[in-house]
Order: sequence, then C-alpha cells, then structure tokens
Amino acid sequence: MHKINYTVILPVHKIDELYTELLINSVGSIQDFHNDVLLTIVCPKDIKSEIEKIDLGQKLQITYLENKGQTDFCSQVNLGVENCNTEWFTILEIDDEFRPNWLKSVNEYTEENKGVDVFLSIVKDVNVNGEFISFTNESVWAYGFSDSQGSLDNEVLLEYENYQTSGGLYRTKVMKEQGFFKDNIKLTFSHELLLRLTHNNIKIMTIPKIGYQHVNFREDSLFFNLKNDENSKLTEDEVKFWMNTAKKEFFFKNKRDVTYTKA
Amino acid sequence: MMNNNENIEKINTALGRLEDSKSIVYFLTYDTKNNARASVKYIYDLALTLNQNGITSKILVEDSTYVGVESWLGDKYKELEVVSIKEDKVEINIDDAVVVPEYYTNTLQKLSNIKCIKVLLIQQREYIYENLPIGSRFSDFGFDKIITTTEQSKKYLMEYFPESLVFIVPPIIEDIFSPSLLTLKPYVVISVRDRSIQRKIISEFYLKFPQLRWITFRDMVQMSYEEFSNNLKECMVSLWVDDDSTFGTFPLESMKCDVPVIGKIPDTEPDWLSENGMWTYDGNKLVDILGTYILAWIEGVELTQEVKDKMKDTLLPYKKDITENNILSVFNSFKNKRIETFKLTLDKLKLEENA
Repeated sequence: MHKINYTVILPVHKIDELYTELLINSVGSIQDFHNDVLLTIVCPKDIKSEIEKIDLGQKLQITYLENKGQTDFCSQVNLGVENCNTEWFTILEIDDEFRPNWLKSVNEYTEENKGVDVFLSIVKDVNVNGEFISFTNESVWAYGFSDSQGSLDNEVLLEYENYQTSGGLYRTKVMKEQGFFKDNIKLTFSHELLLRLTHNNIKIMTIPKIGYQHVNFREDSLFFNLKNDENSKLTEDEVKFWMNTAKKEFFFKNKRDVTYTKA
Repeated sequence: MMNNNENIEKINTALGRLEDSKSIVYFLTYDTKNNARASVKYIYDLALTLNQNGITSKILVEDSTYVGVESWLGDKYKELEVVSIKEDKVEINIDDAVVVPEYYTNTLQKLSNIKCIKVLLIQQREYIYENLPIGSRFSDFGFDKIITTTEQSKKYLMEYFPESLVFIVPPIIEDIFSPSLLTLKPYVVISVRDRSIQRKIISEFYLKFPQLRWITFRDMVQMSYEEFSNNLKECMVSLWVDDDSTFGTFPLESMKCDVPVIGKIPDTEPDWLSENGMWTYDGNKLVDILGTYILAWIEGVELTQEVKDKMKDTLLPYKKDITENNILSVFNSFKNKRIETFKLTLDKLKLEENA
C-alpha cells in the first residue's frame, strides 16, 4: 500500500461566505496531491459542522479536528501537529495556496537531503488581486548570506526576521520533540520557532522553487489586524517588544509567561 | 653541401625513425600562468592522444619559466614531456613534426628553415593575421597543413589559403562533464570574454529583476578543470557571450551536463548551433531571456524533452573516441605522406646515383 508521508494542517477560525470561498480555493491547490497528502482541518467546535458541509471534493482524505480550547492560529496549528501521524507536515493558511510543483519539489529535496528536518519553500507574496509583491525565504540562496548556501542559520535569523513558516515542511517527530509555536507570543511566533530550531541545530533549508503563494495585506488576516485594526493594532513599542521577546525566548523549549506592559 | 650518399643515409634514417614510430611531434605551447585556457587544453589533448597511441609527443615551450597545466588540469597530462626552446636546445629532425598555434604566427619566419612536418593549429581564426606579415601565406614558411576546429573555419581557410590542406579536429568534450545526480542550484554560471560586457549583463539583470537579487552569477575563472565542471553541472543555467569564438567549447560542456545555455550567437556561427539552447543575435536581449528563464525555473518549469534531445544530439559528433580517432587519423596521414615523400626522394636520389 502506498504510504502517505505528508499532512497538510489547515487552521480555520471562522466561516462565512468569503472564508468558504477561500477554503475551497486553498484546499483546491492540494487536490492533485491527494495520493500523497492528508488534510487536517483544525477549527473551533462551533463551526466544525458547518465546515464539514462544504464540498471539498472526494479525493482528499480529510480529518476535521475540533479545537476545544484556544482558537488562535498558533494553538490550532499546534493541535494539528499533536495529532499528526505522518513523517512530515506542512501548514496551509486559509487564504494561501500551494503551487503545483510543491509536491514534486519536496519529494526531490527530502530524498536528497536526509539530514534536513525543515524545508521552507520560496513563498510568492501576492496582494488580494493576486499581483506579485515579493518573494520570501529566498535570501538564503544569495552568495555569502548564510554559513551554508541554501540553509538558514541562527546568526542570520538574529539579523533578519522576515521568514515565512507557512508552506514549510516539518519533520513531525523532530517538531514534537522541539515543540512548535508558542501561542503566547504575538506577531513573532514564527521567528521564535525558527530561532529555537536553529539554536538546537535543527537543519533548515529553503527549496529554491516557489512552493507556496501567500496573500499579504488581506483585511481581516491575522497580521493585517495586528498592524492595522483599531482594536488589535500593535503599537511601535509592542512590535519592538515582541521582536525582542522572540530573541530572548528561543533558548527555552517551552513557553514561559510573557506579558507586554507599557513602559 | 651534402652529397647524394649523405642525403640517402639521412633520409633512410628518417624513414626508419618514422616507420619505427621514433619521430616526435612537438606542440608549441604558450604559458597561461596557471589560468585555465580551453585552447591550451586542446593542444594538450592532441599531444596526449598521440602519446598514448604510440606517437611520441612533446610540449615545446619558450623557456624554463613555463608553469605547466597541472594546477588547473591535474596530473592527467603528466606523461607529456615539456621541453624548452631556450634551455633544452631542441633538435628537430626532418621526420619530426612541429605544430604551431595561431598565437605563435610570429615564429613562422624563424621556423621556415627547419625541415620537418609543419602544421598550423588554428582555433581562433580572428587572431591569425595579428602577426602574419601582410599578404603572406602560411605555405611561404613551409606550413602547408592546417588543423582547425570547425567546418566554418575550414571553409574560410580554404578560401584564403587554398594551397593548404585543412583538417578539422574539434576539441574533446570530456566525460568529466556529466549531468548532476542532485537537484540543480539557483545560480548562473557565466562565461563572457569581455569583462565589461559581463559586468553590464549582471548589473542590468539585478536592475531589471530586483526580485532575483539573490541569484548568484558564478564567474569560472581561477578554477581547476574539476572545480569548473562541478560548478557547471550544478547550476540551473549557463550564460555565454564570446563574439570571437570559433568553436564554442563552453556551451557544449554545458549541454553535456544537461545544463541549458543562454547565449549570444558569435560573429562566426558555431557548427553545432541549432535549437539546442536559448540563442539570440541581439546581446541586449540576453538579460530578458535570462530573467524569464529563471522565473520559470523557480516556478518548476523544466526544459522540454525536445530541447534535451537536441542537446544530446548536438554532442554526438564530439564524442571522445570519435575525436581521438580523428586526431590519430590526421597525424597518421601526415606520417604516411612523409614516408611516401621520403621514398620518392630516395628513389630519385638512387636513380641519380646510378646514372
């Protein structure tokens, strides 16, 4: 029997007409990988039945995982990781999509780089109209940027924060040992994770192919709200605080109490 | 002046040396001072092929300061003896051969008095007139045989030097150039003869495609042959601009590595040019072609099988064994012709002796 090696973890925190459309699109981007990936949709209890009703096709094996506790992005992904039984997992955000060559690329690079536990993809950032903004994760291939061309290291991460963890491929066993997102860190939880992993000598490589497309600046998205929403917008001080927090907390495997207090 | 008997003896000795394969082929070679040069490797390949097939060959250099090729070609050519004109006082016999590259056309005059098989080696035909006295012919100095690398060059030489015998021996595209078993890396191997054009291409590329600033251009100078091939086989694409090129070894080495080539078609179109790469006559289009190709590559687009097949087909005539047989056949024809000439001369001298 064909062994399935990859789980796609897709956290959903709410559902309405727009989110239904987004969900159908994002799941649509992995339909062709149905022989090789499992899909785990993590969602709050109150919307699970509604999501189950959405027609996401017949080919993918889908598990709906009910989040009984916190429903923020980090907690939902962490729950997906806890319940993951395949060798690898990846994260798909509801408004993002995998590129058609993602599976081929990850198959090639995981086969060739046995010592690597995290494979980031080059992420194509687009606006809500699908127009190109920039690439992310590609910089490690620039000559002399990191110690080993193509790999991310701790020193680089202490200098540069902008790395995208969604769409990355993670070795499940290693991530269960290392711990995944710290859900009490706002804004910089991805950065803290990468710092922690590289600090613990986990090898992280960027596959030099665009594997993932990420929508930037979509109103209502987590980061948009943290930057723009009147109620949840972070102040400049807060942004600085969370940046520094990531750089302090990566030494610790488990989350510790971190609270922002206005100076 | 020698009398007939002395002449007969001399020719008999030379004939014996030729028939016993004791004659020597000297390849006049210039010093690259540890810099890799395909043109010098070509000379060494000719010499080594002959040497390994029973025709003694030596590398003839100006003086003992000659550095050699070991630093960039390894010890593959170690068996070839290097002799210097100045220090070793080389004595060239009438049964020996001297092969002179176009770089040394200024020596033709000096070599004109030496009686031996004289062969001119023309890889870069653009350079042949640099030191050749205006209006002179190679045959004026006894050089009636020419080895060149392409059909186009042969055609040209036949037009301007119709009295010469022109042979084609293409360079050997070594098996060290082979497809990488690993995934390719996002860098460009660049080979541009004119450094200012190379700088212009790289600058324009980064200005026009700022999102690809992380793409590295790997300049292949100061590398050993092995490092060169290792770097070439791992890159996603190679870029070639050499307007003066006659043969074009670099694109073929790329193709042998399964690495697609983007290039400007040189002033003289290479014999092998077909739909086996991304070619343009307009150097200004190179940056656009390169950017478009790289963007497609990172999106996962691959070369079509048709292009890959064309690349393979291109290489067929340049297989190592074909070229080696070609080298042997050319030099054996020189030898046989010389034997024939000696025999005819002997017959003539003997007739005169008996008259």
